[in-house]
Amino acid sequence: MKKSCLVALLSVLFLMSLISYAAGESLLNEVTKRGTVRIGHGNATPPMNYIDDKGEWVGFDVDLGTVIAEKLGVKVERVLVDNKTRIAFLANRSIDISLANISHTRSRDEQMDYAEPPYFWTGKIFYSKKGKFKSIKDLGGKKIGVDQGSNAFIAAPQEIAKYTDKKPEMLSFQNSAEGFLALKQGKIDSYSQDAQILAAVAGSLGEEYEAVGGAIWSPGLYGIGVPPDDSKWRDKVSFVLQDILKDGSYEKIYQKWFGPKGISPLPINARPRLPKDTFGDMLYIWPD
Amino acid sequence: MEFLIEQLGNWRYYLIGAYPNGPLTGLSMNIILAVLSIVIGLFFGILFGLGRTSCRRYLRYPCGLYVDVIRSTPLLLLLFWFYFFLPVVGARIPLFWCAIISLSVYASAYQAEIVRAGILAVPFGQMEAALSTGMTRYQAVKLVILPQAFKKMLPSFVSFFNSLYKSTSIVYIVGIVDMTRTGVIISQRQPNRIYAAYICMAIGFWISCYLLSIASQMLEKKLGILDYESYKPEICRQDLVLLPIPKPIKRLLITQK
Amino acid sequence: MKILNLRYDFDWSIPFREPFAGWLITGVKLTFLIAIVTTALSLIAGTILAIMRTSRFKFLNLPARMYVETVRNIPGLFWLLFFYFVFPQMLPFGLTETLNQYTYYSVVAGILGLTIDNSAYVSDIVRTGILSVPRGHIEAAVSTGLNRFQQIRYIILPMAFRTVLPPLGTRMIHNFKNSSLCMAIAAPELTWATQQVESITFRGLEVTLLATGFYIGLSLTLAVLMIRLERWLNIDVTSITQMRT
Repeated sequence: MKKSCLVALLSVLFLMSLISYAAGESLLNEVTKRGTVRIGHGNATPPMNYIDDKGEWVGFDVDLGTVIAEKLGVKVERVLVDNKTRIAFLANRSIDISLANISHTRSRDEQMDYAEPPYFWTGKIFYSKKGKFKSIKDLGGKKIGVDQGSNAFIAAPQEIAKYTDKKPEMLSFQNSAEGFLALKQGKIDSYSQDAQILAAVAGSLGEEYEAVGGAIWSPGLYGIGVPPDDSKWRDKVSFVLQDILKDGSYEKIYQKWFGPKGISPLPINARPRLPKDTFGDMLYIWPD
Repeated sequence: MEFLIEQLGNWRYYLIGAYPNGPLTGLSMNIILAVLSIVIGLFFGILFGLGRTSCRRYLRYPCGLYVDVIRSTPLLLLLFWFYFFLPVVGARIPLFWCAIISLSVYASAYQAEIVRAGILAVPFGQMEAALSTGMTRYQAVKLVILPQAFKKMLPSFVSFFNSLYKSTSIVYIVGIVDMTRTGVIISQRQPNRIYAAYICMAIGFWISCYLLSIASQMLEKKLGILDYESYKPEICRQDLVLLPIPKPIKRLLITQK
Repeated sequence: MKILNLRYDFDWSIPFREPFAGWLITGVKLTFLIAIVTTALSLIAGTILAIMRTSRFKFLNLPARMYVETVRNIPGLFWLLFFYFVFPQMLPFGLTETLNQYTYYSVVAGILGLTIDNSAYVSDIVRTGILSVPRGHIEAAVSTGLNRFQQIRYIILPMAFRTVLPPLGTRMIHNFKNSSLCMAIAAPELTWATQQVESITFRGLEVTLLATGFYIGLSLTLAVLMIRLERWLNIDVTSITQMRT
């Protein structure tokens, strides 16, 4: 009996050692060898990434991911992530690239790395019924919804605390559409999310809502997430992104989604750009 | 009402999504998840069930512990475990297979209980008789005990399958596009269709489950009831010994009257 | 020899740091609240349904059967989503607003949804118990002059509950575990809290481990308590299964 116990124990240990991970090699070599790049996208954040009327997985992020894989010269394998796993999966290397509307924050940068530059510039607003609140100060003591996995859960109360002593009540939803539905039904007084996402989930109802105070309260600079501590891979992805920005394929996707005739027209310019007063409309690209 | 008819016209989207051109979603996703995980779960369920009824302690204890632990964990947490923890140990598994694995683990624990109950329901004389005809233990279990036990277990399997099938809807929370998610997506894209979308969702589940439960009732009538729900959460006294509980409490729990 | 190369370093200070500790404690409290209230409500509703289902009158019998058939064939998650997003919209105007603006409506919706789901199963179990009460006892009750209500209250239900205690206990443990589904509707219970910590700190394994331990510990404790109770009440489980077949 003791013998079989030992055998069982050994076989379990053997199995465990099989799944242990060999670190060291750069992802760049691995991706080239594998011939596919695994890109993580969400599926509940229109217009960045969502399931459309025909049941297909589309969005700005998804299109950008396709082009990046094309430039890398490998096939694309799309992996479903959500607001919580888009960073965890990078840290444990289940995916090579995370393209799921990740704003650049310091706490996230401790867990992952970002390719340069941020590929989309937007910002968080407090969205609520037109005329209900005049300024962010009025939001004190109100119910505010965010997405679970958004940094706004901590940041929004801090922002409101700048103006008033009354603490807001925070709720977090599984995805943006649920949050907007809650806002529409009056379950929350205000919903904080990036401007272009709110415009897309609100759709034709957008006219009834507005940004409180009319202003962005926190920048949302979307970065392409790459696994931490792999500078070769990070550089490669950065260069590919900048090539895409330079040769106009970024502009094509941008026009398809956010241009005046696009699927979700955007009044602001969200392209990664340099300071306007000095550089005009120059894109944020490193010189050779 | 016209909204409902319009939504029912959308049946293709609810049932298979954009399948031939896009990913398979909707109700068929639930069905695939349920069928795959019950088959995988059945295989391991038989192993663990046999293990639990084994007279060898080193088989009985771990199997009992496994079944008790899995049965006391919410399915949602199991799903999160495989979703977050598997990548940590280095296994790279797509989300769909994470769901399959967690549902299979869940199913295997419950099916182990069903198998065990079925085996215990076979009179012990059968085993003795089989052994006395010169069969090995393996042959006796395979040819005499399991066939009889299976006949007794079949209705509980069907009713467990029904319950598992409904439980597959929780993959909604991790983002797999199943029937629930399809309905929610539609209800959010067209906010004035919210009732219709929810009714369609309910109808889809109701019809498929009802067909299943009719099948299980027919089986129950044919073979006699052995409902898995009715088994008490069996904690073997021996299993309890393994749990890290303070001794006085353990003694209090274990002492029989 | 490092056999299992975990790509994760455990930081056990996380669950005890503010605000995470606060979320977890609220989560545990809410999980208890949801579990206890749904158990109580579904016991009451399930018993009433079971009595209706065993009644001879069609107007009592039919609605109860329809209810059980409907609920048993639809996932619990659906009921949660339904009560959170759809139910308030169906009410007359004033109530919609009141419910939607109530801060803890998600908890209420969770309790309602789980109760609806659970009561159908409870009614099934209690009905079996009622059917297992020997005919002679009811006849004896009638002959001592008890009216129908008294028969149910003093004779049928005590015997029925005593018989079905084991499956009822299993069901209640199941219901306790199901309370984790409430995270889907933003009710800040324990599973929600673990996911929230994960989403803020990106290190969720510690809290998930704690939460799993909590669920397992409590389920097993409940199971053991049920077994104690059965022994105390001297219930023989095998006799029940035979009775049902």
